[in-house]
Amino acid sequence: MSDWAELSALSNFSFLKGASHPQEMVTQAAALGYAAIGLADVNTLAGQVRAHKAAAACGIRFLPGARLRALCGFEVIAYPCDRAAYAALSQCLTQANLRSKKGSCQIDATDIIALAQATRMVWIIVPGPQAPPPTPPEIWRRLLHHAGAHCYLLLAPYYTADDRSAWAQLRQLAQPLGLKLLAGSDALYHHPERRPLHDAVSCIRLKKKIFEAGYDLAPNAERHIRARDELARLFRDHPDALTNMGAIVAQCDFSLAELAYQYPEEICPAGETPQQHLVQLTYAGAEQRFPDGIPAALQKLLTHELALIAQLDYAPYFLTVYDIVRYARSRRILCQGRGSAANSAVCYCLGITAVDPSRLDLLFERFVSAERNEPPDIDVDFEHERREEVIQYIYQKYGRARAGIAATVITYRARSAIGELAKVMGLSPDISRAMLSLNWGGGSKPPQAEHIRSAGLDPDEPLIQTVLHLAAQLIGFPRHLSQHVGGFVITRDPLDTLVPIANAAMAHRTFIEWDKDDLDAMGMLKVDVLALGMLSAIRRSFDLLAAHYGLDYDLASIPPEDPAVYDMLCRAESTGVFQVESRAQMNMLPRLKPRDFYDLVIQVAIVRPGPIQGDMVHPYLRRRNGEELVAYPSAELESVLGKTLGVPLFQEQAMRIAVVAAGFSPAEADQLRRAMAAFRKTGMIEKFSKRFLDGMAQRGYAEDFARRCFQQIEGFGEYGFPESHAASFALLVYVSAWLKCHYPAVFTAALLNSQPMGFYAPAQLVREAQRQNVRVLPVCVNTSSAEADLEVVTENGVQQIALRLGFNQISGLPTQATARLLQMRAAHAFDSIADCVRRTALPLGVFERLARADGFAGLGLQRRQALWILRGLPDDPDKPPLPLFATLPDEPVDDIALPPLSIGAEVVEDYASLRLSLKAHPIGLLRPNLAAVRPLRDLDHIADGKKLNIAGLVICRQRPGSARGVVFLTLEDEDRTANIVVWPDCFERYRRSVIAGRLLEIQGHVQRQGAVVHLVARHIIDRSALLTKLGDVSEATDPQWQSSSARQIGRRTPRELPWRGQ
Amino acid sequence: MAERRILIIWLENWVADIHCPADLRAEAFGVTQSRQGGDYLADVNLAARQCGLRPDMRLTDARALVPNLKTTCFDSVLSQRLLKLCVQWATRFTPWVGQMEDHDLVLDITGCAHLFGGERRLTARIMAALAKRYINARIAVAGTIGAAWALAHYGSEPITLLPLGQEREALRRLPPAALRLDATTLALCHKLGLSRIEILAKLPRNEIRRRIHPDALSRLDEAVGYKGEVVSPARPLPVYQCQQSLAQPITELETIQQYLSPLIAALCADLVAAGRGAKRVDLRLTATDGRQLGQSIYLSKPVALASHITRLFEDRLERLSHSLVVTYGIDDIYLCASQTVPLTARQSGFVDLLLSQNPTEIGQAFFALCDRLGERLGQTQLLRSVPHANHIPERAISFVPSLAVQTVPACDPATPDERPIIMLPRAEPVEVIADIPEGPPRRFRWRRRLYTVVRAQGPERLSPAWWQSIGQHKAGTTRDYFRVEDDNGHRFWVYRDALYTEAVAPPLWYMHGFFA
Repeated sequence: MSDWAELSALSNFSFLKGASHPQEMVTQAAALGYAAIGLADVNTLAGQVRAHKAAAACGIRFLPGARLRALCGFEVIAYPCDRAAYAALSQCLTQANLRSKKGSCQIDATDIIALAQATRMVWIIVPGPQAPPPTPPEIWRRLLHHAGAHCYLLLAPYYTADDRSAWAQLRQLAQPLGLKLLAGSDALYHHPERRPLHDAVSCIRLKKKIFEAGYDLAPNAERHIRARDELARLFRDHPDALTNMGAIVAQCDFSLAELAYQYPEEICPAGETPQQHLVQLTYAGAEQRFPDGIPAALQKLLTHELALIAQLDYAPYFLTVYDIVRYARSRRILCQGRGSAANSAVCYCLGITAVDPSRLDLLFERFVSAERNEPPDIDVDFEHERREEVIQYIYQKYGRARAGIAATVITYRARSAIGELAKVMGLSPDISRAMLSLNWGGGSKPPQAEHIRSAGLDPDEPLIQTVLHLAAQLIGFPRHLSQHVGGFVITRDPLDTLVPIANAAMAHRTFIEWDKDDLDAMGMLKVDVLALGMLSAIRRSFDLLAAHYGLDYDLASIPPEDPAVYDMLCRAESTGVFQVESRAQMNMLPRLKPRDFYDLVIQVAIVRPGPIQGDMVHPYLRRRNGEELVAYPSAELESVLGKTLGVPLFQEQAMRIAVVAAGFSPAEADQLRRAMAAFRKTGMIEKFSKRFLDGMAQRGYAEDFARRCFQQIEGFGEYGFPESHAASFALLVYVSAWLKCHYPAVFTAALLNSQPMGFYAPAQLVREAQRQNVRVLPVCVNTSSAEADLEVVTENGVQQIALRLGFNQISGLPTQATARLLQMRAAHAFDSIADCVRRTALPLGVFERLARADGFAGLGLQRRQALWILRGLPDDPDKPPLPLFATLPDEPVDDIALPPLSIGAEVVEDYASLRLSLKAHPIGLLRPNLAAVRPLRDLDHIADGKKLNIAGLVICRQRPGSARGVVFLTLEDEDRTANIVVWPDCFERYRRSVIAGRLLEIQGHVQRQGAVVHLVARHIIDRSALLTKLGDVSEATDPQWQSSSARQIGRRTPRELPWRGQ
Repeated sequence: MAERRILIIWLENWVADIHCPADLRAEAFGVTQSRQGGDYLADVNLAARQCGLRPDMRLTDARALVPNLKTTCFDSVLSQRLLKLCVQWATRFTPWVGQMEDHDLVLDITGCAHLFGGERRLTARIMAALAKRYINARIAVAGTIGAAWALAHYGSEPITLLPLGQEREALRRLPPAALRLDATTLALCHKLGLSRIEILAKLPRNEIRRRIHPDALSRLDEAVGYKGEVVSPARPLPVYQCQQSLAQPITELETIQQYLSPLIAALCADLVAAGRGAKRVDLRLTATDGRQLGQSIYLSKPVALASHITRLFEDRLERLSHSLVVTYGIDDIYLCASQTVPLTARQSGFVDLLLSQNPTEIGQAFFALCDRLGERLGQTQLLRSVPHANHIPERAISFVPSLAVQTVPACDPATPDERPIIMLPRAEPVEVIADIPEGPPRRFRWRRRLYTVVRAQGPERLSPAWWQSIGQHKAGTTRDYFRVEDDNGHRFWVYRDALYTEAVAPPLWYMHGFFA
């Protein structure tokens, strides 16, 4: 018999039931000589594409299907015989998913019968390891009635009691019904070695310790894919069950490859081809962009790109994206495209991006290649507060049946795997905590022996070894499906005929069961609809510019290449500016000295793990500053690296090097990038690494250069940053910098209203605005708006636009209350607190918050006085006073002498309710207590290597993974911020101060490199107690000084390691 | 009326103190408590406080600060038990001992202090006694509970003795928190700048009530003594006991039993009324010469049934009979249920039981039987078999003393397939002729007799519990069990130890049990 097929296996996409990856199952089946395999996971099609790909790679047939487990316990495997049957299966699963809550799928026996009635499908009934029923269950008969010729009964060796007699009994049940038999392994894992892991995942599922799981665990290791000769021996009495394997494979000639993707039709008016429509739209857009005639260069570019799009038939894709962008624009939602195809001339003309392609020199073919037959990739960023409108538009336009969000497969990472397994293996909480608190740097790799030892544990301890051994296998296992951040799939036919749809955790949100790699493999269109906070801030800036200055700008019309903007960036004054405001970026700005748009593109891309890991940053800076000769390793690489002075900085360049210098085909280079991105496939990476290095050596490149290039590709894998993305981001950098440079009040107001976002807390943003000579006015019950706003003030006879803080700055003030207040104030201003309370009829708690924020200062009432008055008012003016108060004999005494607030206490109160203070800086007030300390501005003129003693509020602390344990602190005093470097030995000595201190005094020496100045800490003194003194505060009411920095740590850059175990 | 004197003992580090093992007192140590969203520190010791740790910190934050922090889990039962002991201990100084929130003991020592050499010596003695047990405390004595509490918590010294009538003055400089106000009111005081009690006290009284909190005013009045506040002493633990003094000494066993029965009935009535059952009952017979004879019975289930206890004591009294002979007679009988637990199930008579067929009641009868057998044979002699969910047959059952088993034995619904009626205590080797690789025995020789197999079922394959052999050199082997029947109709349970694929030498066969 030649056509052996394993048709009863499942994979780890049957979450916590299967114990092998789909790829492993398929590869094992191929290795054992099977000609075909079907992987039917329980009530899902999630792992099918992976298995399909793996089978294609091994050269065996793959039968897509699902194992349907009904609520009554009936279990049957379904293999569709044709496209229609597949669609029906997918739709059946969709319906079952949608009526269940996230993560479960409730199928009824009637669903299965209905499916059998309507479609051509092979059915394999799985009786399971329990004893056969005395008579055939009713459901068998019903299934047979509808799908008789395609019905089989599974005989599988379980070795639990007496398989042989069980098979004989099953045969007796089946024969009178005409039910055919099928032999299989009913495999849960690919190899018996996986039994421990299978037991462990069962325990995770059952939330039991392995020592207590008892009969819930399998008694043996027999649920693996069996060798063919073994099956032949076991089933020698049932030869028909073996030959039926081939029969089923012959009946099911459906393959996933038949699922051809179709673009939706409504993107283009009837009677026009998509290509015609795209050409027409492109030229209409071009004329709008260039009213004085399209430049010849652009014309040439357009012709070229349109021809390529026509050749690859990508017009519908561009039209789909265009439609979404057009909608956003019609609703005045700011958006910006990025990604491989976004920086094309076509996208510029369609308005998908505002980056003028003539300012860059990006080759279209690099992104849309004829060789790689996959759709181009365009991500579109929208204002983060309004993205939902766009999503709703897509749903409404295409319907929920045809538009869906891709899944993200959440897999076990090292931490989650070790955490779960430690629990299962019964490690004490202390030991598992110690293992989890290790900083070994890898989400994908289990910790090594030396890491374990560093936590004071014995890596040879058998239980720990077992946990690590199992964790190594469990890492990468899918755990559950979740929705992708914004990847939309839009199809012509109902989406659920391609792939099942499931409920997401969020109400009214659904997602499909395949992730982006699956979609790529299936050649399905995906548009990423993403949210970006900075776009919201820029939109607000544009609105404020229009309202207060009468200026009408958009992303494309901001005056380009303004030297003043670049001057500001070169001084590293980038607080609040998109992307370049982090400590690392601020350090880089004065060294890179960006002077034009392309420099910004490089600036964005250079402070990234890729270039840093590949050690490309310093060579680039040296060459740029003329300290090193610009040379190219070869002439062929000059074309690749010309724009970046011979140093590869972008992902595309790294890929091109693989092609040009290491002899990879473009498709292989792309595989390489994917292999990197999908981490943990160490075997693959070693193979590629060898090919890459050998290839470059053959072409005569230095080994050192080759190695660095490869390291860089590895870095990109973890967090890649291609030029096409950098270019789109660079535009936002420029626009936000331009706004900050010329309209700081506008920019600050917009940032304050878009909180939380970016690196800095409101206190720092306001301070930065004040440094730029913006007048910032406090929250006032009579003048503030709901949000920060601009207001004309006259000072010394000069009219000036000032920034007025809004009610949104006050923590805990409900927005409805604000709206009510504004509504009642519209007629005329409030003249007293009582007036305010009476007219708004809001609960007194609202006014207490306002009083605490000193919002009644405009009425001449300090916060304590205002609170005193408020406490004397009846809670509800319409109600008669409570009997207790009614009995009070005397009139309330409103003007009582409360202890006055010191300026320090005022500042403390300001921080507590507004997260900032306009009155003074805490450090300024504490100067007398910090006698031996120099102000931070002294850093500017003290020579390199000199000792200095400084102090400041800690506004940011970081321990980037790339910096080998070095901690970076940012301190702030009354006039500026400073960066402190704490080396690991110093950190260990002052651990507590560094982690928990809010006000630090630091002794160290100055380190200067060009315009970049650091203080390297030697001694650290925690002076946080001074803050308590400042406002005469007790511990209970202490405001969170470090709320900014605490958030900072939460919002870490991708490479930053956590302070504590996640 | 003499001025009242109130003594407050604040056990400031109570939770950490009672949890901290002796060898960790010098190190940073914390007690953890799991709450929504993670583990928190319930309390920390002094060393940990000096490292900057505070109660209510997240454990992860604490570990970031002090990586080698030693911790243990909060045991609220322990805390309550010890606190109760503390209260009882304190009753030696005054009968009026109460307990307040936040680990405070309040003692009304009015007129008591002189018995202990005055307040100074009394407080020093309390302090020393607690320090000996490594319990940190702060103590204050004042004329009101409020003032004593305030000074214990916010006073500058660990021991404060406030002279008569100085309450108002002593409270002036303390923060409003010393008035035992709730957090919202305290926050309000803070916002209004009322940082000390004197500032608060200066405000018009009606305004305090109107704008701050009515409680603020009453607490203030209580503290300075305008308004009374009394100590409510902790109630003693209920004791279930009865006693009978006899007019004439008795020596006859039967007479003792006659007197004992009503005592048992009264004790059980008390227990039933309290909804409790006895786990241990002590009997003490006092002879006229002062000698005491004691007997205790232990019960495997809490019981409040007079007939059951009476029956158990009958056996015991027989054992006492020879001791009775040498006494001049018993003139006092004392009976005490020294261990009780809440009783949930109601008991009923035997006839009812048989009629009802109620499994829980049959269970009760079973336990009653266990108690009687245990009394006769000795509790350690009576063993019960206990099932374990384990695939390996010899590990699926164990024998433990009957008293240690609290539940009616129930079969695990998920037990594996048929198991033999008799299992050999140790599997015995068998010589076997069988098909390779995994066929059943055809013939085998066991205990020098040859058997011919006519029917066989299997194999049931049982792999070793890999998690039990972690760290051992030899993992177990996989066994294939067969149920075989010989030509005489005997049915055996035999297994092949190891698979052909995993064994180096040909695998051996064993006999493990019999079905019939």
